[in-house]
Amino acid sequence: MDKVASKKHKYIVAIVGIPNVGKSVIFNKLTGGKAWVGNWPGVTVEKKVGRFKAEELNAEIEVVDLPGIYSLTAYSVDELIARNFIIEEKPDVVVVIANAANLERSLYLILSIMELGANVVVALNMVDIARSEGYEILHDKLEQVLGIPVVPTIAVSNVGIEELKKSIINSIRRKLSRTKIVSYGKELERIISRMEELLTRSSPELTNRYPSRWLAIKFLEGDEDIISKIKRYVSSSVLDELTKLRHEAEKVVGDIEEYITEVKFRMATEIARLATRQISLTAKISVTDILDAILTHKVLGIPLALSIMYLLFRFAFDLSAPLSDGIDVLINGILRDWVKSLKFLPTWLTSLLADGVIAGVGAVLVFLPVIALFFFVLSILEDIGYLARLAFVIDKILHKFKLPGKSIIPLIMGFGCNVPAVLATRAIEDEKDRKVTALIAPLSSCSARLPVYLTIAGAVMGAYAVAAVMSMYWLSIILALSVGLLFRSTILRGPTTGFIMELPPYLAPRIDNVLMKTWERTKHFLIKAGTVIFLGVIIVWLLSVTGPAGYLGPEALENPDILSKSWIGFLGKVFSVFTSPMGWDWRTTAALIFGFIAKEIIVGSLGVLLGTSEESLREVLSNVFTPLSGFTYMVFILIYVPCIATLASIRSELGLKYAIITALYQVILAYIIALLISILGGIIVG
Amino acid sequence: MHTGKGGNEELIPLAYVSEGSLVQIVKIVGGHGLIRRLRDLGLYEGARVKVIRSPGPGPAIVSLIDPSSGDIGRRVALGFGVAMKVLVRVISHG
Repeated sequence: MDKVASKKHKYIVAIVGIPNVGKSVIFNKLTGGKAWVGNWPGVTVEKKVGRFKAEELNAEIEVVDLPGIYSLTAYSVDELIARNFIIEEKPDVVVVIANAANLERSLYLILSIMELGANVVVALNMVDIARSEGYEILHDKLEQVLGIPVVPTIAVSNVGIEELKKSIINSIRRKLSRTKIVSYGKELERIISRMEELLTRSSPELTNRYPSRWLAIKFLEGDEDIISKIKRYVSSSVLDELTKLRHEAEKVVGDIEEYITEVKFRMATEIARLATRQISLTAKISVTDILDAILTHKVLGIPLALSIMYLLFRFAFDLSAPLSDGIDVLINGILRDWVKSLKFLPTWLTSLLADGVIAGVGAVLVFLPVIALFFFVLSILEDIGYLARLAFVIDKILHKFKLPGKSIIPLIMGFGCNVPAVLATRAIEDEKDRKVTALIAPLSSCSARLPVYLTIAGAVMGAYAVAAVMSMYWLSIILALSVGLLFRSTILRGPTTGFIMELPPYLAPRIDNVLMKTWERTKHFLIKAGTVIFLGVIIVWLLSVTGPAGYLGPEALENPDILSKSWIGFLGKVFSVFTSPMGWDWRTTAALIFGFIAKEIIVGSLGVLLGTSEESLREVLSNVFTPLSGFTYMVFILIYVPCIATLASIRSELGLKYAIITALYQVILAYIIALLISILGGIIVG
Repeated sequence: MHTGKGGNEELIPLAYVSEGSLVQIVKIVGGHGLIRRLRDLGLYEGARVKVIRSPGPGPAIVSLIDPSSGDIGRRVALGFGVAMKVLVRVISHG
């Protein structure tokens, strides 16, 4: 590896810790908040890297934020990422963030990382919280038992950050590795050292690369990832001998993996007890106790949750309206007119830019304020600790639909934008729970669908317009739950896992944290506007200005008669064979094709297809739709297919198969329900 | 770590413990996966916890209070099904 050469002027420090210990806060404090984000190779888990300067070493220190994990098994992607980074990239220092209010689990992780041969520094965070609970952690005692530096910190208020930096720099200077921190008993130790000898003798290359003791332990545990690594280096006869030793060990301790976990865990508990001192007998009645008594109340919990969600929506939609109008005027008015006035460009290019790119991307950007505000409030709720309670309160209801309480968070995000909703399913541990949530998340009526409802309901529903729009949201929720139950009973059948979730203490929201989360979620939406939708609108523009007869020219977008001869017109007419029972003509059908790119484009497309400006669109629509066919059109738009960007994120998260399943089931479901409403409505209306 | 004094003490599922009780986990009836996940969150055989909210047929919230475990005041919510699999000995009633 050429890594060695580059290390001379740059040091690498990895940060790791169990979830909810304040890891990202420490990362931000160390790096001054400047980080760049990439993905870990091969997986879609985000990799955050930042930097700080070390004058003493005259060097840059690169800080890599590893995923939040409890241990280093090969069972979860996050744990594999963390341990592969430590053993393959060999960071100069690994900083393990331990939570003083939660010491023993942090210690288990610390021990596991020390076994990897890492040069460890412990940051003992949240020492203030432990103290307020009546306990004190003796960090010097920890230092003594573990034999590595332990720095107490209160990261949120900047306490101990400079000391931590100093400790990191000191540890870079003197490499320290204590792989033998845990002792597994005489007999197992004898077997481990025999295995180590065997490994070192048969492949020095392997044991130079990875600590031999760790290889031996992981082999004993039956860790498949490590066994396959070992296989690449040693002959089959050595492998046989290793396997024989494992059988020997099994005879001594039974299930080796369980035994090893047990011993390490007991040691973690023991150290935690040694280092904890009770300084007051009674813990204060905490704010958390009081808030939980109300917010998770058996009777009040659910109505409170619904009210909070309602306020979230009102806030986002009401406050964003003027901002959205401003963006609309800026992009669709000023910018678009300006591009169209550029006479020196060929007309096809100004049309592509103005009617295609600016109109399409602009239509999406108009939603930026509502989505940003929505995620801003949601991030506040998350930061103060309410979202975990919401999952808890709602679990009772979701359980009836065989869905886990945790899927409520992606489903709610979906009402803002489906793309971050799909990404948010990562927090669900169970594979099937996660898949089913990602599959139904697009049924959450995202904010892009609202203007379409408003336009159509306003045009054809008269006094029932508001009720019709509201009914879309109820239908959205009912469908998401029912489809979830359907998938959970068919292709994703399996035992529903019990609800186990940590409820973090309530904390005042930290503005930098909230803004960062808001940005991370909104970013996905912006990337979508810039990439997938950008390409999509160009394709749609091409399909509009060309037809079976060839190039029609940009006039097609101004003149519905010419547009009817384009590919869009052609497709609209083909599909209207299916949609005629619902009473939609080829033009409204063709607008649905645009909606596949992004739902918000539908309104503008209807304007183009019906040959009218947006101002008089409602009047024209009231001639094209009856109240019934307009309502079924709204229902169809709610369900029929997620936008390209959502499908792309399902593909990257779960694979192509599930993206196809999503698209197919939604089209079929939309068609069936729209048809049913048409038929039933037809009977009722007479 | 101290366990029960005698073998004749009654074990009851965590789900049936009244709110405010202090209990010690004696046994977790479940597979490797469940035991591992609960342990990750600080719930293991021998740990003492305080029941903040008892479920009825709904999730329970337990607070980890055992100083020896170092898990102080952290809260874990468990579904009814899971709370039925955690057998405890009541140390003091709420």
